[in-house]
Amino acid sequence: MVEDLTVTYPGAGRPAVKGVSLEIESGRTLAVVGESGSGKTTLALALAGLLDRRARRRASRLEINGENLLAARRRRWRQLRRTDISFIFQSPINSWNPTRTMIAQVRDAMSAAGHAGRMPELLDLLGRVGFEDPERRLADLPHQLSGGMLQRVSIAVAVIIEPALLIADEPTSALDSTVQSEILAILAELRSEADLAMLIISHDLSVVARVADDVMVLYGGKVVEQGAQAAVLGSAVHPYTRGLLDSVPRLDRDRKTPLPSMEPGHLPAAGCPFAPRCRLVVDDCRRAEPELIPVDATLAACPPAASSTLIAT
Amino acid sequence: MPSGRVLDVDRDVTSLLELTGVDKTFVTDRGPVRAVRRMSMVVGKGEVVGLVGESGSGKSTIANLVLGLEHADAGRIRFLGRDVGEWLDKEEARYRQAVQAVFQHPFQALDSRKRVGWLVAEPLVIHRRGNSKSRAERVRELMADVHLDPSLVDRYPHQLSGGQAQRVNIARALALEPSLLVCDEPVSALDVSVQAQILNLLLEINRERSMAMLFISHSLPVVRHLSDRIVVMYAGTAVEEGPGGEVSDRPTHPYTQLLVSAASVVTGDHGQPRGTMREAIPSVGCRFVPRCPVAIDRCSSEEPSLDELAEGHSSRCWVASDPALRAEVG
Repeated sequence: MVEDLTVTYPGAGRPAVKGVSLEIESGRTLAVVGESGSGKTTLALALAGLLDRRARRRASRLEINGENLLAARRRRWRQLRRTDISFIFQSPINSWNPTRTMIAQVRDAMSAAGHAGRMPELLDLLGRVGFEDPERRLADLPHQLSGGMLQRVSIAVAVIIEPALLIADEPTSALDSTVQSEILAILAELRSEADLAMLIISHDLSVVARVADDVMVLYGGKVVEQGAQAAVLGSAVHPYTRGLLDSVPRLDRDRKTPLPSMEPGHLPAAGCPFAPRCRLVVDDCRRAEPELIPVDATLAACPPAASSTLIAT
Repeated sequence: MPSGRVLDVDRDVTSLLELTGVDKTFVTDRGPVRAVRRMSMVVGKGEVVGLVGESGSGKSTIANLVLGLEHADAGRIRFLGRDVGEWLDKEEARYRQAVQAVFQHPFQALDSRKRVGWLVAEPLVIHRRGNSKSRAERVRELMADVHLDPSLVDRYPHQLSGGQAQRVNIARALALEPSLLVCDEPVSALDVSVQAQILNLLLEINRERSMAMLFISHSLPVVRHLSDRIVVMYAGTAVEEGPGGEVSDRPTHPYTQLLVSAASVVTGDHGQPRGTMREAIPSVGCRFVPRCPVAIDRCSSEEPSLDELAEGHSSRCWVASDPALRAEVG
């Protein structure tokens, strides 16, 4: 649970994350969607206490498992990351020490979390997620396993220590595109079994559609739209969310015709971050940053879209 | 403009690229893996052929075989009627000019210590096209063709976005005016909003230059959007093939049907099962049997042939090719 989180890196004009609030109940998955530079990774790092030392963090609330972490020290965060917060990173090969065998590293992670006795369960779980012959293959060094295999180990270890929060930062985007769906199926299945809260970060809407209960769309560090997955993907209100959905090739769309694409644009110093790329932009958008307001089934930070939706209905 | 295409693509052959009965087995520490089995397919002049399939289906091996990065164990791969092996032995430079590639990870394909202008000019330098002045002019043209701002010419790859880096890769691939562009998952590593821009660029290139493409992707909607024809691969071989709209809108093979139902996910209709995870692939009969909802006894003992069911639309499925059985399973 986070309220009004803002993170600023030194030397940056705008905050990387600005006024973000979120809450994930256990057993549910929140997907944070955004493109490079949207602040999605900064948000994840803030929730795991992994922000760069020089980053400035402000928030009115930051709690995990009911514990207030606004004043938590690095040591407490380190402890939490062993027992209560699991993190799955984008690049499986960079998540493991290249000079030690997988089994040694897995054992360390398990005993640091106080679950040293559960190795047999872990081996079982690995077998179940398609990691063949775990006892023999874990004797290998990381580079001897494929990205998909390494990510299976990361996920199994992340889940078996029964964290309160599992953060997965683009867990499939460094993988061969088609191992992705297997890894997602595994994540979704384990998450519902383990009853943990999951935050998944992705730019891929098909990933979001497959695993998320709720969706939060970030643009330029701000939440521009949020709501239940079906509502955000099915009846998005914000022009950025709509643009994302429209630019994806679909089976029911004309073939060999240009896809509607949003031209790149800079982040302005004031006003709505999306204004320079927006087709609904009005003067007000460049003056004040719009707040999230309920429109249809989602919350959207776009007064012009909100009023046109209201008129249409 | 340089002299244009080096190969006379109007020579009297029907297809640009033709694979017939291609086999490729890799030896791994866990035994041999037959990545490609008796694979046949054709890419016509100026045609976009989409090759779709999941990880391990052999689609990237096809790309590597066509690019001469791997060599087939059996079967023939012909470009303009001549074996690729022969091209590479006798006229490698001409083949490399005629067949270019764009890969999945834009930054991995670019030398991080070189500037954009150098990177785009490199193919011209390697193939000794023009002098430094005409090459600089050509670099400007190519950057304009791929909609890269001319001011980026002095940037290094790390100063580019993923979309810009992929445009640099496309400009490099276009520099020698190839007849065939092999694209292996060219948009999978890009942000969603950037994917559409790159797909639009590839469409534009195909339309304006009538450049043929072998477009490889795991995503049926992406392949459908770009392709004139679609080839669906499963476990090393083609299981369905036909015109782009036909294969995606009226799939006949149960595996293609699975791809279609998986692709409806983003449209909000995701009550569909994803199909089971990768099962052991049988070594006799149809390779898809363990995941197939309609398999009959014959499927486990005898591998189906790729039969034409409608004009230019073929399927490797005993059930699909038998009207009575097809009616039965609906």
